Amino acid sequence: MDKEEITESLREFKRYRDDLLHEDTSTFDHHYERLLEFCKKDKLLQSVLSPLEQRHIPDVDAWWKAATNRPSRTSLPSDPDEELLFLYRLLQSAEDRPNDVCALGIAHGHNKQKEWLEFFRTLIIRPFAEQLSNRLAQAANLATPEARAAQAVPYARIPSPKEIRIFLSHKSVDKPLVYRYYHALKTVGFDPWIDERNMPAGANLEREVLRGFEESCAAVFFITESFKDEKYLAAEVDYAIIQKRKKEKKFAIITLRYANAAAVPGLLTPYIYKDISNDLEGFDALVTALPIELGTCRWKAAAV
Amino acid sequence: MQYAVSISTDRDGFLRRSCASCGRDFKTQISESELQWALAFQVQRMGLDIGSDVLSTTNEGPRVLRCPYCAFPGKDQDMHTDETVNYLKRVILREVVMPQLNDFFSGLENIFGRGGSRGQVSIRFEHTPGVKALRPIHGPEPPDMDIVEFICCGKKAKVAGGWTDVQVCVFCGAEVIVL
Repeated sequence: MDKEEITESLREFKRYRDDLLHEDTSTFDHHYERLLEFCKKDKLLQSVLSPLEQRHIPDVDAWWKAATNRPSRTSLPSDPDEELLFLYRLLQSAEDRPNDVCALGIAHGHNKQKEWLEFFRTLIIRPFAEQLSNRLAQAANLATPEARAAQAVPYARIPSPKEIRIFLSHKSVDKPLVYRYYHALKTVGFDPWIDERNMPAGANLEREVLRGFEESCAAVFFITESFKDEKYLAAEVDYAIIQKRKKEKKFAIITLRYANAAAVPGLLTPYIYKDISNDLEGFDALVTALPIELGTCRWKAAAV
Repeated sequence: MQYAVSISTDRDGFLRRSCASCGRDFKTQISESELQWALAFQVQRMGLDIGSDVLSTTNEGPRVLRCPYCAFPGKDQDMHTDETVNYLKRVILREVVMPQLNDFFSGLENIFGRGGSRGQVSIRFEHTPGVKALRPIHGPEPPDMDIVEFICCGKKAKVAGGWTDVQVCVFCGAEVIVL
């Protein structure tokens, strides 16, 4: 059974059940027949009731006899499976035993037809309906795959593609190190910016670097033994500070300082600054400090 | 006065709702205080002046929910399914209304049931309380629909499978897009 069939089956069951439990006794026979018919033909209900029918053989004749005598005995099996099937069989057998339903009520001091039926509802139908409802919930859960989850993101939290780059500022000699970050960021889904990769041939270096900053949400400075706050690196520090003033919380200046490295330039010290001993620590600090985050987990295209 | 109300949620803890405007179903998670509000509202709706205790036990007011299909904003208590409303009504009828009616008619019987004395025109009144209504059952709730997490307020709702055109957050009304 698929999800829709199960949902529809439970919807129908609840309707028949509640009609039989709560509608006026003048329509009792009609609702009684409809519920029994539904129990016989519905696939979900049969998936609960059929296995019980194969395991137990309830002696309802003996029960009716004991229940309609005085003193009346109405005990049911203690085993939950057996009890549910017993109630079902009693419900079915009542169709051919209108006199016994009446005698059952009278044996318990109910002398009017309305009262017999209410007593029968209380004694047999409601316990049957409650137990069957619980079983159906379990059956429906087992037959239904886990719910999929999507994320609804407010528009205000969705950045433009032109503001999510991560500018990787570094000394040329540190390129191998910075490329490790570049590839790691790319792999997990970020959009890092590195001069060699992101600048078209023949482009004006100053302009492209400036554009790189304008399209970024973070600038990462790698302070290694070779870092010197001069020339291009000094200009990039200045650009980063300008972007920070302009974009405020939507721009992060992240400084990763390796062991034995030069001092962090004074202009960068008010911003995020982390002493690290390896790339993994650096990557963790970088991702933590970013003002953007990645979305929900999903299967890769090749896996589905 | 104390009585038990047990609302059935699905396997993932979601209660089925129904939009008061477009009538389509969705689901939200429900807290005890929200259930109290829903019940108190039904008590009040049934014209009884007995909801004050229920209402005063919670500090939270009824929230507004927005339909994930048509974005209609409706009060929490107006976004229940017929099934839930009928269940709450049956609980109230059984636990609140019927006992009060029985008390009322027993009182009438005491007043009028003795018959009149000489020189007065009197009526006799006899009341036999009926069998107590059956305790209603809520659920079972199928584990259908897909979960949507609204990251604006960190809450989750369930919408019909495949529906991705959710435009506002069900809980806070922020404009959203399902990714």
